[in-house]
Amino acid sequence: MLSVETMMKTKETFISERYRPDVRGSFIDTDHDTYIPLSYDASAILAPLEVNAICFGPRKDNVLIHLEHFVCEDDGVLFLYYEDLFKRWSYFCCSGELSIVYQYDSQRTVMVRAKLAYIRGCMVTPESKHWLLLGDFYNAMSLWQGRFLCNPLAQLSNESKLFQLRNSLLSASKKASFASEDASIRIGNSYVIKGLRNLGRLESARAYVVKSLSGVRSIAVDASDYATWNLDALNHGPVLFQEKVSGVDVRVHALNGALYAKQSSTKAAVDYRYDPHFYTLSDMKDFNDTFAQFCMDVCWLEHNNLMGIDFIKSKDTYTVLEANPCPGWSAYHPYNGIDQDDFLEHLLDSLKGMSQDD
Amino acid sequence: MDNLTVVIASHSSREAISHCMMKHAAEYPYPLELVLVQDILNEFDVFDCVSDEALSIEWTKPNGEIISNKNAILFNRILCVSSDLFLNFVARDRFYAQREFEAYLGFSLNAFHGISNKQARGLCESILSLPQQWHKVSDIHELTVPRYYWGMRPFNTMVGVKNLVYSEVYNVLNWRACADEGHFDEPVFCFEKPRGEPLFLCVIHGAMLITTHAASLSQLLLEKIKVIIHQINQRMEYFAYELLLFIQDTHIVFGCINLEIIHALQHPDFEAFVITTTKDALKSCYLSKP
Repeated sequence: MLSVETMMKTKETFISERYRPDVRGSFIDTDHDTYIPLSYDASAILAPLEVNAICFGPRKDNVLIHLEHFVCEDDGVLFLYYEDLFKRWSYFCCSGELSIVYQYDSQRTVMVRAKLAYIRGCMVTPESKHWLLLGDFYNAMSLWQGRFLCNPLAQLSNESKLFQLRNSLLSASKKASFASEDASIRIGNSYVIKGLRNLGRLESARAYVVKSLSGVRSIAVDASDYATWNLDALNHGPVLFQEKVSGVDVRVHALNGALYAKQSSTKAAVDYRYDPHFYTLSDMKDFNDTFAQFCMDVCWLEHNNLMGIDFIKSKDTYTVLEANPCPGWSAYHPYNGIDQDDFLEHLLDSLKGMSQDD
Repeated sequence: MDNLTVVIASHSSREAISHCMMKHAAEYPYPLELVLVQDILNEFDVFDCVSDEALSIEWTKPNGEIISNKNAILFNRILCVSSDLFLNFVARDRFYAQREFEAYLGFSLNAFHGISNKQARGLCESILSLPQQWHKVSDIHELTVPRYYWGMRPFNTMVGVKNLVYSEVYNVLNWRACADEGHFDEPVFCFEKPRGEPLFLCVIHGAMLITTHAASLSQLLLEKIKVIIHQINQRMEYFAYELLLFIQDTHIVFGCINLEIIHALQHPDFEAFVITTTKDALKSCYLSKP
């Protein structure tokens, strides 16, 4: 017989843990060792270390790994890992002025001066000590006087997909429709359901996809999957259903006014990110001015100059799904040491402060 | 305001403004209805639609009544979403359930025409830490902010300064000078307690109620404070908050903003102040409804 306490803790979410995969590299590496610890000598005057950019993120973040291989020492890009926070590097704020301190080698502790900060996200839960550490760090970075790529403050709207869809994405699509007679960019039809009885109100003739409302990643699935789930869980919390749109998946990375688009020509799974054909993405260059302007407008409305915008392209219509404020571009623009990639070149120019739109 | 209900969304029926409005509901020219966060999570059924052409929020209460963005204006007084609301989820889903619900709140509340419903996770306002608040108001003329240090202890430049308060960056209630009791290898936050008498003000919809020590203020100082509040409002854009200032002669130091109304509850004019200001705000909101 279940205890009262156990019976009380029986609610489940509709999208189960099995469909909420970890994003590889997005977690704190608990096996990481800091080999050059901070040497605290508060009486010493710290020498300045001038760099073009600091990239912050978890040690195993795929984006940072690719970037580390791509950049050279002369590029002036410093990588600081969250695992080393307060161990090899630290920050302090004195009455509004933020400083970054870094143990350069066993002999030198330096004050880092950079023009740009590139902030990568990290999955942490409230039980982790990094929950407060990173929360304070992002808070402190709001006092940063330099430029950003992926400012944490610009990532808040994506915490709610429908909030973002209804605000910046809808505004940009309406502007695109007004500017051009063809309504070529749409936000698609979305529904939020809580209460099993409301499931029957979805039009039976249409197909739907279930996915996370929040920024927590889930694998998007259609009825061939979700119809087999515990439907009673629909009574426990709001669930997002979106009309399934047939077409080609498109990801656009918008970086400082330039667009780099990839498309997946074929997929077997509903969610192309988890499809066996994911790594056969091809470049897409045949988009019109309306489409390009839409992407720029989204970045402007989101106050973010590096975004990953997802669409499904059907004939002449693009259905926009979401705008990722801290995109994992490395799966689309990997550095393999051989091929030249325009996105990577532009990103490096941006980090060095040489991008045309900086 | 024909056929419109004002829905007050709150995290607690004891929240100062929510409580006051509901206590005096009969004095408003339209029906008020209090909806708590736990009602939306546990009691209501939901069927919302978003498309290029339409936006519909539909909450069905257990008695069958429907709250919709078509028949209601929303006044948001949600200051927090407690993790306790999700304790009856299995442990593996608890954090995810909260994230999903907050994401839903942000979307659904924003879909109403209303007040303080612009945050992506459903809170009525964005919560700023003390350093963030001080940074935002630091350029206001004739207002100073406390000196502070935030970071690793060995680099603390304020050691030796008198009247240091050791605290946390989101703690707006701790203003008592104290000793540092933390560990050497942990970060520290400390600030110099401002000199002068503390002055608490409640600000709602741009109007202010001085809730402590009002009698001792000169007219000149009052005028200065009004100008400062106007400039704070331009920078923060908060609908309602409690403001702490420190006054020494004509010198004014910004202490903090607390989104939770506490000191004003003791003022005999508080309830009348809330009724007047919220009526004004709701009237403006109604008139601007598309």
